[in-house]
Amino acid sequence: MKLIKNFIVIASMVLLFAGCVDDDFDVPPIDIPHVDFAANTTIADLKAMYSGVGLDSIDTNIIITGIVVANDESGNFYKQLEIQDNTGGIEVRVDRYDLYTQYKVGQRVYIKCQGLFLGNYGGLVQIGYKYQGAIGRIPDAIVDQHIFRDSLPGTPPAPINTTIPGLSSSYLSMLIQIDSVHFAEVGSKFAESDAITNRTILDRQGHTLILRTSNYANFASESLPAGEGSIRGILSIYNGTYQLYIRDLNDLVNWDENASLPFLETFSSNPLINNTWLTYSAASNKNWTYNSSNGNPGGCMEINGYGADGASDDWLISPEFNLTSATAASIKFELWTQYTDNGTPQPMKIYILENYSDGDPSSFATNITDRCNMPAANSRVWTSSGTVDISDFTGKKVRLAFHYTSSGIGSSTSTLWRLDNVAIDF
Amino acid sequence: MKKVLVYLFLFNVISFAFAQDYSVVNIKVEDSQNHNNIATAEVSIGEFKSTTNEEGIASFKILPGIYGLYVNATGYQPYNDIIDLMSVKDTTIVILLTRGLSQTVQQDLARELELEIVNDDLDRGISLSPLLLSSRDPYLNLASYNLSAGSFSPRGIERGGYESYINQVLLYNPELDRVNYSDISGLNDATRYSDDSYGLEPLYMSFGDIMGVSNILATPSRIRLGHQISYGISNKSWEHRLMYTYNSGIMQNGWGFAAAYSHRYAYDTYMPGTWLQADAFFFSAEKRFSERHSLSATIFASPQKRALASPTVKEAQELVDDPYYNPNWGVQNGEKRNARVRTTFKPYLILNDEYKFNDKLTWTNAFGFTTGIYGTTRLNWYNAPDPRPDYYRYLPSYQTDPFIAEIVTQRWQNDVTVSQINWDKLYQINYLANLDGKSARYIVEEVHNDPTYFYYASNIKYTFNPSSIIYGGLQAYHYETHNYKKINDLLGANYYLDIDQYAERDFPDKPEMLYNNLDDPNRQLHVGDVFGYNYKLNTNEVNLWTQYKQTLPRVDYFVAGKIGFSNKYRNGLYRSGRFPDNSKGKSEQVNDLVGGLKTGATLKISGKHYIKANIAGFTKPQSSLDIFLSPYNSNRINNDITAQKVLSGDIGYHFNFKFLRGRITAYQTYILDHMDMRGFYHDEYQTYVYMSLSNMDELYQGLELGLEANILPDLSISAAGNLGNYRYISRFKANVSFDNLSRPDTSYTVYSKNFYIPNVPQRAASVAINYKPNYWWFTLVFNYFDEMYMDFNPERRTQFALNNLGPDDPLINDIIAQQELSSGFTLDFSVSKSWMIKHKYRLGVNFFLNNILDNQKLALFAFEQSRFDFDTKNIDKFPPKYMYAYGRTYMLLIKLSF
Repeated sequence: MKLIKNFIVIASMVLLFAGCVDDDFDVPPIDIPHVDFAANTTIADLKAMYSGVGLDSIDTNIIITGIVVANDESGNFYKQLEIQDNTGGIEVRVDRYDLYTQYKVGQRVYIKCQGLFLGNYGGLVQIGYKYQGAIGRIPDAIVDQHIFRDSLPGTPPAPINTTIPGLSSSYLSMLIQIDSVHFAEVGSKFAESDAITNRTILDRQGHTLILRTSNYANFASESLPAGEGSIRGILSIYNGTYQLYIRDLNDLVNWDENASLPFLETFSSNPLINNTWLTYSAASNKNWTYNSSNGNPGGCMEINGYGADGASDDWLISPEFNLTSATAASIKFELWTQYTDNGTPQPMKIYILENYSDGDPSSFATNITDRCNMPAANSRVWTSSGTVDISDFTGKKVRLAFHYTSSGIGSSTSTLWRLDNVAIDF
Repeated sequence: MKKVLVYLFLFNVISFAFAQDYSVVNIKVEDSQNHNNIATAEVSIGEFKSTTNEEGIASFKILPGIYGLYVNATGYQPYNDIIDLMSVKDTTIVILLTRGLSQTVQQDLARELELEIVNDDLDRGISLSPLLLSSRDPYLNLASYNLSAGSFSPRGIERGGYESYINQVLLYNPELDRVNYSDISGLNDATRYSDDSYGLEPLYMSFGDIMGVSNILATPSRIRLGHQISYGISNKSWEHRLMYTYNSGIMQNGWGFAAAYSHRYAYDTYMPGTWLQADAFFFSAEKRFSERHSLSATIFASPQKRALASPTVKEAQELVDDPYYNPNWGVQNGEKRNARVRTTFKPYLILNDEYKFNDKLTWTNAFGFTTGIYGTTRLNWYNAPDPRPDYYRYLPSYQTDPFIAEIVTQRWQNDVTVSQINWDKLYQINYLANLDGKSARYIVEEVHNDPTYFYYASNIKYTFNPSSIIYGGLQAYHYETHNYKKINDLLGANYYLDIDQYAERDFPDKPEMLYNNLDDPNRQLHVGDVFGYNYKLNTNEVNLWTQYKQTLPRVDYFVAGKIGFSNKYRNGLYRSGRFPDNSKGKSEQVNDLVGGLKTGATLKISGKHYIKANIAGFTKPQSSLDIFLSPYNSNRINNDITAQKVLSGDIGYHFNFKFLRGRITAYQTYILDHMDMRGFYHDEYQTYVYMSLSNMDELYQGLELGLEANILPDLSISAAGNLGNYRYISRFKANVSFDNLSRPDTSYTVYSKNFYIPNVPQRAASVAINYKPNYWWFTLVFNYFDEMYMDFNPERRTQFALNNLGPDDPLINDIIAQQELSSGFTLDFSVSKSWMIKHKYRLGVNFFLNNILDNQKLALFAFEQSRFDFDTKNIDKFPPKYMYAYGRTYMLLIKLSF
């Protein structure tokens, strides 16, 4: 017993003596950053100071403030922040990864600009640091001496509602929203896996805006949705052409993938390859073909019976439109023609086809040429059909068809026709 | 194998036939001053051990021959000699012992130092063997504890090579092929006594290995009797240590009890930002039923929590002007916090049974079991900037603008939130993520390799006659680690997601690939949750071994053999999104038949000269860590698996004059077909990759020299030197497997032939001056290290790395050359003194001062990073990382025994 007692006494002495290393750490409180100085310059004024070319160093005590409207969270923006105040927006280039972990959308920041540089890339004014004689990123090591967060992130500013024709350079690097738009390349990825990619945003009037997406964006491999909705993003510009960058897929707002879309075909690619558009050749070996360069602008569809193996009789047929629930409908297209066919007074006729699937379309066709404004023979200017009312076809599934005929194969017995910008609205 | 055994027996019978007459040799031990008899002195002649009686006499019955004589008694300096008993019959030899510190005390001191080194407070285990300490070989005595403060390993063998047992249970980690010394740390007094063999020679419970075998004797019949209390202060891996050990010895009723407790702690160890909190418990009970039968049960544990230091790049060390710069810590709320904390708790249970059928036959059984935790924390982050202060982009060298580089330099030198982890910032970033309801950006995770180990051995010893003994037995173990990650701290965040961010980035259109566990995807993780990967690695081994030892007048020799079976497999607990069909459940079994033979002989030319030679050849299975292509997430096995082959031999000349003794030994070891698995983040492919190396052939050859000169009775000089040549002698084959499957597995040749085995000095020397006046012991040691080479990145020694370089491009040499680390020397000093108080209490004081000149340029280890900039081939983009051996350190120990 004595030995056990000895042991216990000594062991408890040891235990008392033994210190304890505290390894439970205090949890730091939430830090609410506070800036104790004021801005003295608006973003618009700062941008106005830029000479327009090369690199300008900022040598005076200029302080701007703004709210972060875009960061690198999705990967579509890389090492940059877009901030804006009431007067405008500016792109801030920062040499740091994962900026979003500190500069969330809605975060108010103050930037002490002295020691930084203004420059431009493709016409977009940026604030950053010098790099090989041009504008570069603010080095990580000095970021915290120039960019200061103030309070916790709040509600980001509402986007500026505008339209494609209404875009203005005063909106650059700001968050804008354009309503009732759709994508030209439905089903394609936002970006190809190996390169930054341009896609086309279209409004109902056919105005276009480039949607530019990085292949490092986490949504790059998602497909451009069908249908229509509003798009938000940061407006940018490259050599005079506006570009829109979305921050993530939440910037597609109120998107209705089932919306029956006003149809607009600009023939930016050959629609015959995947049978989006159909052709039917009743006679001759000269048929409707795709012309990639003579459209208004870009590509168009073309037919020319000159030099064929006989007089031509050729149809070009659009995809089907479901007008079953439409109350009114109209179409619009542009034609261009050259030469004169002395044997055919009306070489191009316009039809509406009902319930057509394949074969000879003539038995499904209603001629509506008289409703359309057609180009004068050999006029060689793009001529709009004007808005052509086809409300009498509502409740039906229809296609639009362009029927070309020639009386022969010679220079005065055949004509050349081009078709572009076909729209249907319902 | 069977045949060999039969031959062994036959051989034995023959030697019986030639049996010679025994003679009785009495060793009488006396005090050199007053010629009083010394009782209870430990005396050994060759293999035979005895203890002196009241008359100071120990009696032996042995055959004529030449024997090593060793006498050790408390309060006296140990005595070592070789005696020639070729023509002597029935004699008494008187040995005079000089008062001073006994061998036991000297061993104690050595062991203190050794266990210090074994403590793995650095972020890398160090494999060393305390077994060398008790050696009476002058080379080993010096080399083992003086040179090991650097990276010296005897014969260049850093991993494997040693077997260490405690109460005949193997202390082994077969995954790392390493002895788990840290499992007994803090139990210095309870684990002090051991039986050892050095080199190829087996001990009594296994076939052994190439470097040596040690069996720690930690039972009431072997631990020092009475109470031992010691207190120490140091600036090494602990600041304070209190240790208490008690042993009752075997009492009249046949029972014996021993117990020990120790506590070590440090708020700051030698490496900045590291701390230690460690306890150790030990209890052993033994019952001796009769002279023939005893049974014992021992439990012990050494729970530890320690903050680790990690190697880093030279640039960071130079920026803060501290070679011991440790990137692992940072300030949180004004307190130092270390991101890498290792928690270990592995209680052991050991049962021993020893039964002597008669004087000839002894049967022992040993059973061991442990299970516990081994976890190390580290930072992890998800789509957020790298939080490590020494990340290469945060260093001045990454800056191209000199003005900015200067700013970065200033910040490193003046701002601790830049030069160390900025914990507060990590919290704030997580708080911001909370505002959006998002996952943590930063967490502390704990990486676990929790072991479970069963060991069983049954051994017999049959003594044909005192000079001819056969041993044999069976060894079997099951070793299993449970490998997983656990959330340790969310750093203020609300949850974390269990997905693989590398897969998320590379396969945005295959969402199932990013799940670490397909059976439970999209989990929100909280503290304590297991995530990332989850699998068990199993290693089973069973072997039969035997050895025969015989002592003849002119020759001692042994032969030993082993045959065994090894089995390994992985058992996946998660169905990985990368390998949905080949990650959950058991993998294919990898089986190996292993075995080998050893023999060695000592030719005793005379009492002053003898020659020893040993040779061994055996196979050894690959570690379960090295056979899977991507162990974290699949059961796929490397098809190049083949067992390792070990071939080793040495030959030495030993001399023993009155004033000078020593030896010179040449050694050569081949380790063929070794395999190694390394995992790292690959810069070119931007994903985690596993590089599995095979066909690694290693050669270790060299010369060892040990000398001990007794200039005066109190003054001796000893010297040890090693001239080594440790090389890889083959081209490795590398199999590279990409964790996120972004690329197919590839394999290529690594041009590694004739590269040096890294991180071990090929040349080292040590000279010690020992001065031992009455109960004092002063030692001054000079150590020298040279020709140590850095560990190299195999990817830099490939055709791919040299692509687009012309034949004379100077860059080629820069890329492929293996860097030599700086050579250097250290000076150590120690003083010890002991007093007897009232003939009962012994008070000992030891003071050690190591590396007096504060040499901070000696690398403990260094390695090239696994990342290589293939595009610009800039070898400085990911420079090597270094860890330096401690500068000046001290340790003061006060010990009271009674």
